[in-house]
Amino acid sequence: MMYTIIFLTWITQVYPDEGSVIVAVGEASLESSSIVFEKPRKKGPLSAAQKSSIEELYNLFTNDFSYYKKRFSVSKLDAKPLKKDAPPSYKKWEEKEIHYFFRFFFQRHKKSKNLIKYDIRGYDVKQKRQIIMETGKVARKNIRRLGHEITNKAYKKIEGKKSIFQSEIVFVSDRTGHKELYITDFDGFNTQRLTAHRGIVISPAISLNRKKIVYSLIDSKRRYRNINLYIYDRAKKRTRMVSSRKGINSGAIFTPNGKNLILTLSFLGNAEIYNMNLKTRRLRRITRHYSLDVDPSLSSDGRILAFLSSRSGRAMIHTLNPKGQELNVQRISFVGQFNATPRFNPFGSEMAFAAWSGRGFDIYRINADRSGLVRLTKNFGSNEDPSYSNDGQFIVFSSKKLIDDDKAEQNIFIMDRDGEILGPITNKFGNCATPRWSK
Amino acid sequence: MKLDTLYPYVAVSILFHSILILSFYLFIKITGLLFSGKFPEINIKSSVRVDVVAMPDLSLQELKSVGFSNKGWKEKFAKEVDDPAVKKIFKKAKNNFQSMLKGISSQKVKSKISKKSTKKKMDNKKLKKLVLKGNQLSKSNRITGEGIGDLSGKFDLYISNLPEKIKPYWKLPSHLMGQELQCRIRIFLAPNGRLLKVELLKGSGNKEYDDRALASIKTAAPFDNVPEEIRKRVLRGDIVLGFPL
Repeated sequence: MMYTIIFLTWITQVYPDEGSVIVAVGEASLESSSIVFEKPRKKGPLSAAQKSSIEELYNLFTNDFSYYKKRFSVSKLDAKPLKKDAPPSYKKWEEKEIHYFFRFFFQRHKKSKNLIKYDIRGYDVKQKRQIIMETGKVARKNIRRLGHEITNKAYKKIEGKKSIFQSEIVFVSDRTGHKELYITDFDGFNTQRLTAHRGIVISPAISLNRKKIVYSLIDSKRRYRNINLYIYDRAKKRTRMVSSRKGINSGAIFTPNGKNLILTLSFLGNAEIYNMNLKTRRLRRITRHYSLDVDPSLSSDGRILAFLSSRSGRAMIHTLNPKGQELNVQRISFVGQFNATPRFNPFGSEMAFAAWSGRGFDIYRINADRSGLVRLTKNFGSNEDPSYSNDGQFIVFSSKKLIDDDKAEQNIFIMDRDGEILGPITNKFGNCATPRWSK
Repeated sequence: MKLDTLYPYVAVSILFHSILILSFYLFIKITGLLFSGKFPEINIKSSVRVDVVAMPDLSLQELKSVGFSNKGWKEKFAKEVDDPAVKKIFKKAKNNFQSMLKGISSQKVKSKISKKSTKKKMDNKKLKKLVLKGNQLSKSNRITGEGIGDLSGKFDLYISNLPEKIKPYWKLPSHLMGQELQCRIRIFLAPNGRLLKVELLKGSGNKEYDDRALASIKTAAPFDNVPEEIRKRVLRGDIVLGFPL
């Protein structure tokens, strides 16, 4: 009895019921840097066409950096006359709390009317040094390509990683009355039609080196309907059929080395995923299950494959190791009535997918370890076919909205990976669907 | 037994026990000195229990736009499953079972089956309402994070409001992001919420990181009025802010 009293007094002395408490403030948010683009300085006489090209290049700079909304706040500034090599006054910029600024100098080329001489310089205020200096001459028709090249260089110098500025997006549109394959710059400019099958093109994908595009074509000319596989060569500007096995030959994607395809084939009766060697056309089976296995998506290093399978009763997302057969199959999604088109981000750390949300589809995002299921789109029509950008920060998808009772409009939109929609990249271009971003 | 013969034993016993008590007392004092300043620290994170039984209803942008300490959040977005239909189902089920037991011999088999089938359809419809969507709260009361107990409820409540006040000013440039840096800062607040003193308890090793954390606290101050019961604790610096935790 006495000992218990003594023990209790000891306990209460050593462990009091009050003390310091740690409150977690949480992760910091990204501080945005401000960039100023001084308006172009022109020397000498320039034609109206040349002036408009210069304006286009300038706007391309401000537009490109504006995509990274949370990272940069972009502003334009009127330019006072200045010599090209005039030293920058870093102190003045520091006082105005500007972190980076760019100067543009243009003049006409003495020998050619089509060429423009340019001199573009970018500066880092904090480090008090020049980060890029690009000079040369450019033809008016190549001005956008040059612009994206320079903005990508500048972004790389500032952030240390590649930007989306030189990336492209393939998609399908029925603008001509038939569903054909198109390719466009990430900002929606420079759209080109690549096929003229006058049929129904579906599920395009672009290789890592961007030289080839694989897609499928619904062939309803023969007695039985078949979905055949084609590859378009961008250099040769030619397309050829690579597989016409009976049934489905679609959902194809390139492996990182560009020598193989991973696709869905149903010639054995059930839809399964295979690896096909492009040279030998040999197949290696990846899934072996009586249920449907479709929609393969690879991480950039090719080590993990996400796919859609109905093996658990409903259409659910699974992953496996594509080097074997039914190797390490993991179920990723456990909720939802119908989950479709799982697409990995380049790092294989998370995937975006479309899921039935009652009245249409919406884009959701989940980590590869099944945690962090979040909804990205809401009240924005029916959103499908998400595809990540090459830096994993943005997602392109198609959105179908009802205008009238019987009319629907489908366009391609870009949003950041948190669901903040940046805007459409197709406008009045027919019904555009199934986009895929180059990596 | 004679009492006088016991005396030496009693004396020895008393001596022995007093030595024991004395040694216990000294032991307490020594260990008390060793433990001073090392009070057990309890982590508090503002947490809300959400059962993911179905796909999330709210988009990520919607979730980000509402601060969790905002009282309106619950009313606006969370729907508690307090459906009277739910209570009805359970009542009905009970009645069915009881009546089944009572009239198990008297009820006709056919009518029982037909009754069951129609009732099942209704129940499924109402049961669907029961399914908790991603952001629906089940009727539990675990809304606050781990606390020490009801006695320090007010303290928990006060400090759980602090992260939302500081977070808007807690920003990092991209070269400091994703480096898993961590620092802890002790704050001393006056009863009116004014910041009296900050103390860097544990640094991250990166001066810029620590400076930014300190600056975010100073910009976010002054904080809310401190309730009377916890003024003493807040004044003596019981609050330690973790960046990020």
